[in-house]
Amino acid sequence: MIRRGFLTTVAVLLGTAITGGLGLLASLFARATSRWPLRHARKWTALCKVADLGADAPLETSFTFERFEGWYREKVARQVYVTRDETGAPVVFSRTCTHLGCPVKWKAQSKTFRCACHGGVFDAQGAVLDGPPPRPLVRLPCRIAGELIEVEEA
Amino acid sequence: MSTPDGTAPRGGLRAMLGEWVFSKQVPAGIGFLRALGTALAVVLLTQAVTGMLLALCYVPSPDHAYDSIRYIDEEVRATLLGHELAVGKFLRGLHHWGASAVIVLAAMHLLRVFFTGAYKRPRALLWVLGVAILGVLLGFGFTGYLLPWDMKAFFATDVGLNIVAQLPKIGPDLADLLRGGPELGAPTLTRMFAAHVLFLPALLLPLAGLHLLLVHQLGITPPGARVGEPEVKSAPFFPDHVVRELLVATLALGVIALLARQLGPPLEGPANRDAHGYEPRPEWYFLALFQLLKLFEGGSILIPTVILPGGLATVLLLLPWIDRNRERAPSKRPFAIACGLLVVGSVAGLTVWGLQTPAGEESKPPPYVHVGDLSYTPPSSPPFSPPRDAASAAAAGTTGVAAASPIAAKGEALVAQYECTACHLLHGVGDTSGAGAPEFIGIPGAHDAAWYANFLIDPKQVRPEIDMPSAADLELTDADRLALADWLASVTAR
Repeated sequence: MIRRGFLTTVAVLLGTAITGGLGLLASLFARATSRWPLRHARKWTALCKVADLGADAPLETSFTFERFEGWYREKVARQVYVTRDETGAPVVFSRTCTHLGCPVKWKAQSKTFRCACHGGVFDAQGAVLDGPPPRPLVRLPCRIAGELIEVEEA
Repeated sequence: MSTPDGTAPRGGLRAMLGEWVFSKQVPAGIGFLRALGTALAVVLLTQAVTGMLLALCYVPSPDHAYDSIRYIDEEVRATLLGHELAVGKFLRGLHHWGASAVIVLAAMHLLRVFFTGAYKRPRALLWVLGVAILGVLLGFGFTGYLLPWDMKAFFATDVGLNIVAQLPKIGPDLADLLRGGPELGAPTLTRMFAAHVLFLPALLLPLAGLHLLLVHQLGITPPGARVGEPEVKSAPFFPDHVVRELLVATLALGVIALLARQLGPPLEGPANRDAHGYEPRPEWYFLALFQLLKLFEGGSILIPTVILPGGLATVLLLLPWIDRNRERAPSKRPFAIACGLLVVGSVAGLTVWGLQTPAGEESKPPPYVHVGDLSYTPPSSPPFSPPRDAASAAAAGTTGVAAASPIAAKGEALVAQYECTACHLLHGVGDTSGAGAPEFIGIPGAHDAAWYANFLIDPKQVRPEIDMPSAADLELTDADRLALADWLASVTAR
C-alpha cells in the first residue's frame, strides 16, 4: 500500500508538472502576443497652421501615422478636431466618442460635439454635457512649432 | 432509472475511469518500452497545444509568413519572476523539436511492436492503424516545414513536391493538387497550412482514437506469449504502468524543452526563388529518402521514389499477414528479426550518410530591429512577395498611393518598366551598388523637362563622367522619354 501511495503521488506530480508547464507557457505566450510592439519613434506630425484655427468652430482634420500591429505595418488615419482652450492654447480632440467609439461631429448651432450613435453630447472643451459617455473627449498631445500645430502619434 | 432486472445501472464516469485506469490490469513484466505509445500521445498533444498557440500569430501567406515567424521569434517576450523570456522563440522551438521527437517516438514504438511480435493476431488491425498513423505523422512533418517560408522551407518542399511529380501517371496531377499550381507559390503555402492544421488532424484523430480503443480492448501483449496462448494480466495498470508512461513522457518533453532552449528553432533567410547555389536539405527524417534519390541519380527514378519506399510501406501494412509465424519471442523468429534489422540498418545508414553530405550555402536571416529600437528599417520582404506598400507598388509599375499625380504615376511606372532601379533608388528601393546613381525623388540639379528630354537621349554626351545607358540602349521610346523628362523635372530638388 505504501508503494501504491508513493507511485500515485509520483503520477499526480508528473501529470501536474506536464499540464502546469504547458498551461504556464500558454498563458505567457497569450499575454505576450496581446501587445503591439513599439518599433517606431513617436514623432510630431503637422496638423494645420495656427492661422487656420477660427474663433468659434473647431477645425475638422485628420493625420496619418504608421504603427506595428504585431508583425503587420499599417498606416492609420486619426480623425481629430483642433480648437483652442480657454487660455487660447491649441487643443486636439480625438473624434472617437468615449462611450463606444463612434466619431463625434461638431454642431455649429449648439456649439457642441454630438455622437450620432447613442446621443452623447460634449461641449466645446470636450466635457460631457449629456448622454452615456463616461469621460470627456480624449485630448491628444500637441504643440505649436513655428506657424504649425503638431500632434504626437498615438 | 433502473435496468430491466431492477438493479441500479452501471456506468457513468466512475465506472469508466475504473475500466480505463484504476482497476485495469496489464501483463506482468512489462517495462518502459511499453510506455512509448503513451509518450508519443503526450508529445502529440503538446504539439497540438504549441501549434494552436503559434496559430494565434502565424499568417499562411508569402507576404507575411516570414514576418510573422520573425515576430514570434524576436518580439514575443514575457517576464516571469523578474526574468525576461523569449517565450515565442521557445514555443516555436518546442513545436520544431517536438516534431522530431514525434518521429523518433513513433519509430521506437513501431520497432518495439515489431521486435516483440506484438503486431500478430489478434492485433493485426491495431498494427495497420499504427502504420497509417506514422504516414499521417510524416505528412505533418512535410506540411509543417514549408510554413516558416524561409530558404530551407521553400527549397526542401519544392524538392519534395518534385519527387511527387515523378510518380508514374498520377505524379504531375498529384503534385499540382498538392501545390495548388504548376510551381511552388502562395497557394502551396496556404494549402500546406490547411493540410497541417485541418486535414491531417482530421485524419489523425479517428485513426489515433481507434488505435487507442483497440489497445484498451486487446490489452498490452504479454512478453514472449505465442499467438493463440491465453494472455494473463496480473499486474495493475495504475499506478505502476501509468508512472512508467508519465516518466517516459516527461523525459521526452524534457529533452524537447532542452533542445528548444539550447538550439532554438532554426530560421534561415526569407525564401528567395532566385537564390543560386543554395542546396536544399530536408528535415533529418526525410534524409534517408533524399539520399536514396541521390544514390539512384541518373538511373530509374521509379526505384527510389516508388518501388523502395512504396514497397516498404506495403510490407509494413501487410506485415501481420506476411509473417504467419506464431512465435513472438525474438529468439524464435530469427528471419523476421534479421529482416527488421536490415531495414533499420539501411534507413539509419542512409540517414547518417545524408547528414554527412556537406550542406550547401547557408542562408542567414537579415538583421532584425528589436522592440525599443527607435529607427526602423522595414523587414526585408521576399523578392517575389506582392509589394506591401505604396513605394514598392509604384516601383513595381502598379499605381500606388505614393504616385499621387498623373505625371508621378506615369514616371514611376516607366522607372519600373525600364528597370532604372537597377542603379537608381526610388523611394529608397533599388540597387545601391550602382555607383553614384542618385535617388530619383529630390534628384539634385536645376534642370527643366526639356533639359532632361535631351539628356536622356545620350547621357554621356551631356556628362561624360557618368556611365548611364542611352535611349537607344534602353530602347526608350520618344513618348516615354518625354514623360520621364516631365517626371524628373517634377522631382528635381531646385
